[in-house]
Amino acid sequence: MTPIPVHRFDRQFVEILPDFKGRVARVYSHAAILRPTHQGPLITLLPASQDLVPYGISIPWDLVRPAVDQQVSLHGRLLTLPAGQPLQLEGAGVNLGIDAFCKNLDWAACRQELAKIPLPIRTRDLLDPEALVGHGIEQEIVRTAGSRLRKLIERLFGPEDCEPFCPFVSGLAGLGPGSTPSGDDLLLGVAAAASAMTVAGLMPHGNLRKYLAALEELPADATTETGREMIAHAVRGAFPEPLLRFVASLGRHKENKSHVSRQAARLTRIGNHSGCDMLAGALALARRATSGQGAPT
Amino acid sequence: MIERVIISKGSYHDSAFLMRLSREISELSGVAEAVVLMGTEMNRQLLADAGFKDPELEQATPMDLVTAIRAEAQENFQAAQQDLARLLKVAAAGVGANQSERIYDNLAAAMQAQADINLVSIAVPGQYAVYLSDQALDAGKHVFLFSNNVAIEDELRLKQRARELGLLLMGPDCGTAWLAGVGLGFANRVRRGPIGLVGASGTGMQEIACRLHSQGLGISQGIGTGSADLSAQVGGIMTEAGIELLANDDQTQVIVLVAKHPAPAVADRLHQILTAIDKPVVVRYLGQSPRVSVAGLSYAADLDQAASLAAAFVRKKKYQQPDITPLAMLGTEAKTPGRLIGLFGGGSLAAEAAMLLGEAGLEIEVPDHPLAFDGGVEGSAHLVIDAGADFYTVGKPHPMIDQTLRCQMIRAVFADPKVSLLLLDLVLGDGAHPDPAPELTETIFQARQQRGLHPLLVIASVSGTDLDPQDLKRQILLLTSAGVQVPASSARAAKLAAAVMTKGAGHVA
Repeated sequence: MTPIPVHRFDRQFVEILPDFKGRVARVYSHAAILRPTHQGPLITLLPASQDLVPYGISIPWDLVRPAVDQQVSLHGRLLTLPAGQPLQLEGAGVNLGIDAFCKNLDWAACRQELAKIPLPIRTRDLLDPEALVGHGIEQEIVRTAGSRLRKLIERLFGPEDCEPFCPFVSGLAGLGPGSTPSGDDLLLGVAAAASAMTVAGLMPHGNLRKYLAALEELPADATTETGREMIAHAVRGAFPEPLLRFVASLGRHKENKSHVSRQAARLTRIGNHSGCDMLAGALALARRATSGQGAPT
Repeated sequence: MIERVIISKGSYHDSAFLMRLSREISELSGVAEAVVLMGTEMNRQLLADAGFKDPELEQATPMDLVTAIRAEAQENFQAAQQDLARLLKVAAAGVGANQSERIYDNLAAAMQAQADINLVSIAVPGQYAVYLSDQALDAGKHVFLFSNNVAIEDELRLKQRARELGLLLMGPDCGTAWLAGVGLGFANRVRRGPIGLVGASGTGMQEIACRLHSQGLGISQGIGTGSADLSAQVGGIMTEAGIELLANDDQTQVIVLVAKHPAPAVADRLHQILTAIDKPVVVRYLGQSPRVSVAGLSYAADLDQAASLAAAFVRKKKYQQPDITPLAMLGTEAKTPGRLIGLFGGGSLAAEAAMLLGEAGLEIEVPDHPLAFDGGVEGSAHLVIDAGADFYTVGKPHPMIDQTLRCQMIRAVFADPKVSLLLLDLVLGDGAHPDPAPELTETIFQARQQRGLHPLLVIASVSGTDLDPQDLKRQILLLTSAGVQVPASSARAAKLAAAVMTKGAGHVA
């Protein structure tokens, strides 16, 4: 059969060209997760025009509908599922590395733009957990996550030889609802913004390195499978597209004043609340980085 | 109180399903609280700290679903357990909860299997909705496009295509329609009758339909167009298509158009089209003062007047402005100076209320960002708040379906001694909250007790009919029993609120 060309996929497939053999482990309404037979990363198949995630491939969903337990292989650029046309990855793919999105950005004075972003209630509650009303379990989750987020941010701007990062990271990993728990999304948001701010000299480089190392050292059972995958990608500097765009927009705010708010709104539309949580993580870091307090010497 | 957890081993679902599980189980009788989490160490610790000492919790892993339930009694917990098992089984089997539903893998398969369907209702995230809409139009089906977040360029292209094919594309962001007596989306149960509706405002159409039903009349069709149809970019394509259909429909004697913020050039163009139609037409542009009416085309000042004008045309009677009658005593609530806060479930009725309150001389703010509702209402101005705005509803159900957010706002209003009047709306019908009044009145009752002696008048409108599943009379009775004033319509509620704030012992129009 003539392969169907697909042009939107994580560039890592082209750069690393992994041979993948595995099966369709899970199918959701908006994604299918492929698990390798042997060790290796998960691959995410997404309907066309869905924003990409690391190791993601956008496919014509209605033509090549994945089903659980189907055997899948990716050899070179050819992705094969049974009972459908094979897919050919064409072109260079999409670079989901933070460096690619944040080159030549102007970070100065973006603090004012940060204050103007309309925030969903959940993001606002995570950034200001003391103001949250109510004592149900869901409110306690947000309160706990928000409070630990705040402590993580302070640690990131503390002296390099201060306490290790592991307790701050493990206090958030696996915390909260969702197949990718809220705490994981907060960690992702922080990582994306921290990576960009470090390049800009607004954050201590050593602390970023230690933070990413702490993420890498998380035990396998600290969080869910998909949470673990997203964190592993973050350690390598790869993030979901909307998160990258939002972080990049902070450095481009002078070009287009509504760009920041638009990208924030787009980010919040990911998942049920994943986007709101990632936004909270990124904003918490960005606000601190641009507050002018700087890192203690 | 019983605090137990249920571990579903290896049960891994997407976040939307987990949230739905949480909500459904929380709403069961006798369940005080339910939350669904994956069994990570942090979540197990959090649940233990929250009082769940169930030894089962230690057995959970990150691949397992943990459902934590706080129930009043053992039988309530068992009912929740059974409901969870049923929902997980349904999810695993990929079958709809209603056995008469059939679930297909994709739209093409559904249309192939059911060749006689002529309408596709689409409610997926915006970025997939365009693809599905194209598929449906390709197959010659009309489209009810409930989805929002569709780019305006895509909306224009789809509507132009639908026009060429002689099909309806109702949407995007279309919440309400009635076709051949069948309600789509959020729709009240109204009798069939001789008035055809076309609208870019779902709630506006609902209010008019309910007012007509209460006057013994009914609607022939209700064609939703999506909220952006009358924008400059889209140009009113579906509005014009809907008007044409109604103009040529034998069952339709009078046409009513309702929309919000039409682009001036589009409104001008529609004016020309409407004046050329043989049937009487009534237009209500929400939140705006009416244009000058001409023969056969009447611009109404509010939704009440729109319905009354349409009724007058059908009955071939001259429209008369209703008599102004003195306001009855408001019970024990004495008028006090202070703030008015309007908490609405959607933008249409909020816009109308803001306009009517403004016309009465009140300075009203309509916030375009989420407000803080902790211990009071931020700011000092009179506010009309659309609790259905995107920034309140991201990741949460809409207030027409779920009242958690609005109840939180109500508690904050009552906690604020500077607020003297609260204006609310309830919209009933299929798709809406199954029984909104009890939760609202309980919230009001508890909040009043906390508030103590500072008076606060609550005025609420209820858009609904006697045929709606929520039982209109019961909803009104519950509200009035809680001391809430319930005028006959949304417009009257706003006018009553305005009268109270500006004149004290005011008037009802």
